[in-house]
Amino acid sequence: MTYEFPATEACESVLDTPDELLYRQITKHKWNEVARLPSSTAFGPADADKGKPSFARAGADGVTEQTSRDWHQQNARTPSLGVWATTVGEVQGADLRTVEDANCPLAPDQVRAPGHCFVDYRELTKSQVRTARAELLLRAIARGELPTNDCLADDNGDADQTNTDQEAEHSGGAAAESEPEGPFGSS
Amino acid sequence: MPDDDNDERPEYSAFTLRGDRFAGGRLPIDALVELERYRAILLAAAERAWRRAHPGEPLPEDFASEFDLAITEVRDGSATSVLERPASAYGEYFDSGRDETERLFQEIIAGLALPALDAGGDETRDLDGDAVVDQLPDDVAIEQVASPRRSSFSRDDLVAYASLPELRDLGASLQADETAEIANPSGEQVEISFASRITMIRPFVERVEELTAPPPRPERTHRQKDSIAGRLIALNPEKRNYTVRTLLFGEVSGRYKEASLFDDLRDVLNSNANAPVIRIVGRMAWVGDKLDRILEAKQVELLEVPGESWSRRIVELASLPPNWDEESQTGEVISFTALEAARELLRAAQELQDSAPGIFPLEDGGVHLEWTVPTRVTSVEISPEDQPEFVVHSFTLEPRAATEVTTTNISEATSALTEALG
Repeated sequence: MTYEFPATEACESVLDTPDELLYRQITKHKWNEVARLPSSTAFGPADADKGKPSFARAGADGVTEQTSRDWHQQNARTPSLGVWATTVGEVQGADLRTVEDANCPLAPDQVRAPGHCFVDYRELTKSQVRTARAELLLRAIARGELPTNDCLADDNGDADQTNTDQEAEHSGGAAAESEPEGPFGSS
Repeated sequence: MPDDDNDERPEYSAFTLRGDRFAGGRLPIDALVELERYRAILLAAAERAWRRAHPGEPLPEDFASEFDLAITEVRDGSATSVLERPASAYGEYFDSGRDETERLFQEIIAGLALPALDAGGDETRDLDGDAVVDQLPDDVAIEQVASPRRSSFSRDDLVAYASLPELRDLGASLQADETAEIANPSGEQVEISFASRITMIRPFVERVEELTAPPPRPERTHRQKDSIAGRLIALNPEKRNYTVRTLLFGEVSGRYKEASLFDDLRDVLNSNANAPVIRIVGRMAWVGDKLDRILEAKQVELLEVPGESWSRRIVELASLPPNWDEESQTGEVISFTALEAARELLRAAQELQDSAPGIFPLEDGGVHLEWTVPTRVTSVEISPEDQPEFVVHSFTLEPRAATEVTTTNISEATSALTEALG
């Protein structure tokens, strides 16, 4: 099944490069520190996205997992904890489409990441969104986190110091310890 | 104590004041303050030289007293004060301080120091923190060293020197047509004119003052209806105040006016709950982005947090402030009802699934639970209402299929979840 999508704008184009990676930045509220996995919501739209969650195309000039993360760190309010990816083909496999909009005009106060594109969730019901984002999450997990500086896990799956600091405030998962720690360590 | 040379007082430095007031070797009493300032800068520079050579050691008690400068001669032509110092074990540091002082003024007046404040300026120091210029052969003139047109001082050094009142005020008594000149025995000299003090020294000092000024005091604001979560750790009914230990802001004190609030707070303290967390809704005072005081509590909510593997995460979500999502600058505080329901579901799923569930906040104040294995994602969205709605969703890759159950009955939600995970 393929969903009905709205017509694209003149400045937009639907991508048909199945193997092209689409980078997604994972932030603290969508990261399960214990399982060291993103939430499925990381691959779907937040309310503010209006059905168009942002990704960065690996095929765009100068765009790599590292440069896309660097751009995010410099421009977004919430730091990226790591870069995970799906592909244009996997998006198609989830009955969605990837729309490249790098040439669309921006409002004066807006900035756009290099290689910007979005996965089109606009006409989906909430239930369909849950299904599609879950599928993209599983595809991304099969690929694993893309290594970048300040990445979440090294080859052994251990957190490096920088990310441990970043994640200290909100860790996302059920902690291994049985008692709360830190300021809440005693009642 | 060994001396650095013989017992005679070698000429150490010359401080010359030029202008009509000083003609014929006249040294007005008013101008002596400039000599005092110069001496203070020399001593500070000598102390810095000693500390670089003896990191971590206290300055010898007699260091300042050994720096016993004396005016031995006021030469004709202008008021040239010939300064001598007695031989001292610290002689090399006194000389180093003198040379560094001279170089400092050269660089300030040449316009090298000001850019170094913003650029860092550490490149010309070696790993021990010594200025590279100090290690050059004696026959290399200061002008040659300064020729790359960058300061030889580190930013920290420049800030330290600029913080000396004597450096800031050196030459302040000079009039428009007067200059001060400092020179060492080898003939190197620096001239500080009325103009260079205005155009070079003062901007340098003012820039340092800008850089080192304390940040502006955060604005104090009151919010009429705010909320904060934390553990109630103290309650004083006589003063009608209490203290809450919060995850985000440490211990915060507050007051209440209504007697019924005391009953709620006392019930929390007396409850059998293990590690209870409360959320207080009321009027709060903030200093910048830090909660300062709870001015008046109007409502108290209790969240029991037994010691379970997910307890810390539950408390983290309970502690999220309004607009917790920095990216969208939205995000309702997480509903305690949703958190309690989440805990029930987590307990039910504990026996069925080894993988650590993700526990995430939802923008509407609800809670999102998620269990992920390589071929399946199972999630529960819990809405924030007092009677929460549960959406249990499960997606499998092979066969590619999804199921979803929506209910307001937690038992039904639990059954749907256990079936999906089973």
